[in-house]
Amino acid sequence: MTKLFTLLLLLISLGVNGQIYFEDEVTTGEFINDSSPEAGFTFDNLFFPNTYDADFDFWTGWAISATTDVTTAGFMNQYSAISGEGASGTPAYAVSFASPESYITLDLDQTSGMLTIPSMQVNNSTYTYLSMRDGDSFAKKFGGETGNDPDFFLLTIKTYLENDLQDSILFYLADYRFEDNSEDYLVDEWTKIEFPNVVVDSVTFGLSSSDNGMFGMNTPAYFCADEFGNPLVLNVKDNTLSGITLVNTLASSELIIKSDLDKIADYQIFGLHGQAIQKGKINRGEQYLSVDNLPVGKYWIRVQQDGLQWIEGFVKMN
Amino acid sequence: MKLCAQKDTLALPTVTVQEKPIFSGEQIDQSDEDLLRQQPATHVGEILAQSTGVFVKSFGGGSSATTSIRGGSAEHTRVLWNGLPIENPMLGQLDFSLLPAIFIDEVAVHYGGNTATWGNGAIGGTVQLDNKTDWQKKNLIAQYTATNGAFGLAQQGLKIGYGNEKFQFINRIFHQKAENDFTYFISENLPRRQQTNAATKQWGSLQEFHYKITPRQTLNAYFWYQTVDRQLPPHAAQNQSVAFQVDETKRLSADWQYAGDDWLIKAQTAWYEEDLRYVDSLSGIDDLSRFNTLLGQFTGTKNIGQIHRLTMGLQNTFYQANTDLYEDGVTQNRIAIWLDWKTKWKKLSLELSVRQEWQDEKRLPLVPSFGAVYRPWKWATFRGRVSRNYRSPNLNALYYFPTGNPDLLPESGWSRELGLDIHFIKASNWTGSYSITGFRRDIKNWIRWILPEGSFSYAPTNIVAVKSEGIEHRLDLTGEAKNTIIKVSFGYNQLRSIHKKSIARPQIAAGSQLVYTPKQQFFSTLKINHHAALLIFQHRFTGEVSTLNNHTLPGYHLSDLTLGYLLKTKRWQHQLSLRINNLWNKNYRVLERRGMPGRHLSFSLNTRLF
Repeated sequence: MTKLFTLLLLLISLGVNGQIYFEDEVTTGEFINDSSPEAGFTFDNLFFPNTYDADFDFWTGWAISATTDVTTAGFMNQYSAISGEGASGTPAYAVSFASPESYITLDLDQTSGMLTIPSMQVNNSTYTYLSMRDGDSFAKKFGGETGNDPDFFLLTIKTYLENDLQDSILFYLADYRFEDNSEDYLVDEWTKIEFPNVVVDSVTFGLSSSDNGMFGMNTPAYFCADEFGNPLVLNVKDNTLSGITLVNTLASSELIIKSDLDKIADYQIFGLHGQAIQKGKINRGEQYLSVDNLPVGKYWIRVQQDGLQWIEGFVKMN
Repeated sequence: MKLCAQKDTLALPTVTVQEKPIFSGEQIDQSDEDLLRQQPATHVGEILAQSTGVFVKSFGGGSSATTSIRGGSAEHTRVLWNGLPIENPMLGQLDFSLLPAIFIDEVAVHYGGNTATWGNGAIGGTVQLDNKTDWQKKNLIAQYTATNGAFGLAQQGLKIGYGNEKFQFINRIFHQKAENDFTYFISENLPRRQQTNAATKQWGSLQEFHYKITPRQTLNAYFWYQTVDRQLPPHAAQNQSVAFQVDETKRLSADWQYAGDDWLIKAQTAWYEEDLRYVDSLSGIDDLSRFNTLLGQFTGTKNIGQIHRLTMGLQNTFYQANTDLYEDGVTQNRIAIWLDWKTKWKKLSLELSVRQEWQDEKRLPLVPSFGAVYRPWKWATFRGRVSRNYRSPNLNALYYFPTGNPDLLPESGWSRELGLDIHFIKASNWTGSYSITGFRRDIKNWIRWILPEGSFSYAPTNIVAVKSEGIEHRLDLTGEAKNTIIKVSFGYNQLRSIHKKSIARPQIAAGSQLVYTPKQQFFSTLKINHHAALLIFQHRFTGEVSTLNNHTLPGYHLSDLTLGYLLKTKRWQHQLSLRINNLWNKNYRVLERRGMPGRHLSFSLNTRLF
């Protein structure tokens, strides 16, 4: 891990201190699924893989949508979120048909390294929500005939680094397992999911339900996602500023940076969630930046000058 | 129901050859003609459910009705109308709820596989539906039936025609509508739920023309038109449905036959066109599928001496089908040729058949069938049959886009059965018969729609192997006293139909019973005619079944009672009847999440000229 960490140059992508939005892709009422010739969508170095068969309009993976239909049942309305809009009132969002699973990863064509996703927003799709609420030809309404069936629709998010499972997060998009039926719920609003503080290179999304048959899950395997908050992507390819060297990647009280730049540059230190913790100026020559006040952990330092940037990670030690 | 024993010998006529097969090494349930008339059913599926050992998957008025015979799927039931197949080639099966009972005069179920005789798909059994020509009828032919009952049921049927010894012209018209708004049981502490969006409306007409060109030559022609508009109700775990389905059927067929002293030739042709439109505005679905069938069949039969009979048959079937589910419209041509040899030597009758069929350029398995009937005593008959059988994939499995697989293999395997029929010697006023049949069938390459590893679209695959074995009992008793006739029929089936190997998806465990395949079925009919009064009591038991959602539906007992009274005038016969369905008001389910009605009534009037 340390080896990898020290090898990589760092880049805080365009989304640093912001979030991934999908508004540039679609306008209200539209959706995009046919991603050909690309087998997916890329946003700020995050890759949303998708497989789409245009002839049969069949797909699995991710689509980008701004459709607003919250009343039409069935798969013909498979691209709508039950809220009719994206998180925070924005029009666009991502829809995943996780059959059997969907995932996001670094855009390996442009990026190599790791990422963190501190949070994301999720919601039910209209198709799945109405199917769980009302039932359809294949699936039951949750609660069953009596209303007492302990049904659930569960989103399981797993994070990986170099194929090793880092964490598993469970989120119930519907939960009818309560003794008191009045507590049963279907998620119909965008809900923020906080991710543990880990560095990852891919995230998978799996859906499971209490309504299953011989052919697998009867509940439509869709969910919607938005606002992948502050994704921090480590990148070696987009380092555009040369002349900066980090002398010590393990720092206890001071970080030593050597600058060959002709003029003063700006620096920022970021935590794992992409939050800016410290900032200042870098002069030509060797600089000693105090990190005494930082808790032990992993950090990134970014130096910018005239629109160019240089990033590297370091570890604050005791 | 009559037992197979009535048709178990090879009785070679001395003057003319009869057209129907008269040999059987197999179990047969044949509809009781009187019962059909006295107890008007809505559709053929009801007849099969009430009085045969066929398991009918249906959830009440207006719903589709598909069959399972000896643990086979609906596609393993061959359905012949006047000797020609009428299944939907896209699905490979037939919805029996689309066959009005008034359009059919005789229903017979031949159990077990016999593809060599009956053709593609005759693996579980064959249902023969026939229109009967009665050349004794002269002048006006008239019959009218009307039934009104619970849940808005109103049904009228008219059979009217004219005939003499040379020709007969018969028109059958059928109209039925029903709301089917019954209530059904959910649980003890909840109110019964009312069925919604379940109305049906249908009408149809069957025109028949029969012409006896000479005493040896006959020409028959039929035109069947029918339209069925039915709403599709929500299941019990669904709040609402606005879906509906419209089926429009046109069937035109004709046959000509010539009977010599010791030979018979028959030529048949048919054209079918069926449309199925499914609309669900809630889901934005409006799908139309259509198929055409053009069929020609020739059979020739020759008696050789007194003990041999040879039959040769040739059939060409052309299908054309189109739906949004196919990339393009599809066609398929099938040619089949078969030979059948029957012989009788003293108390032993033998039959050997073989069929070869080609599906487009593809040669299907050569299927032989061998049957034997041995009657050592007047009261006992032993019978048996061994046959190889197949079912070629339906058009959806072949051409569904994008996962249809034109390289699918036909399902195939061997069936064997042994049976014993005992005819009770007439003692006092009682006669009776009992039969017992044991069978086993192994089918490989059974087609299932599965989600292949790494794929996101279901695809038909030759993946399942199924073994079916069971025992069938039939008992018929008839007693006569002064002004009273009592008939009692019992049937009991034990069936084990299991998967021979495990599959991950669909989730199937080796040794598990096929879904919707009861291990036990019992059915019985008691019919008493006393003077002009009639009582028919039917009771059946269906054992528990597993479902597609890995649940189990418990077994259930179900009884129906019909009370009737016959009024006769010089030329007319009127029967009034009251039928009580689900007499004991049982809560039961045939299909998961589908409620069934409790006790309900219907009144019928059946008037006919005789």
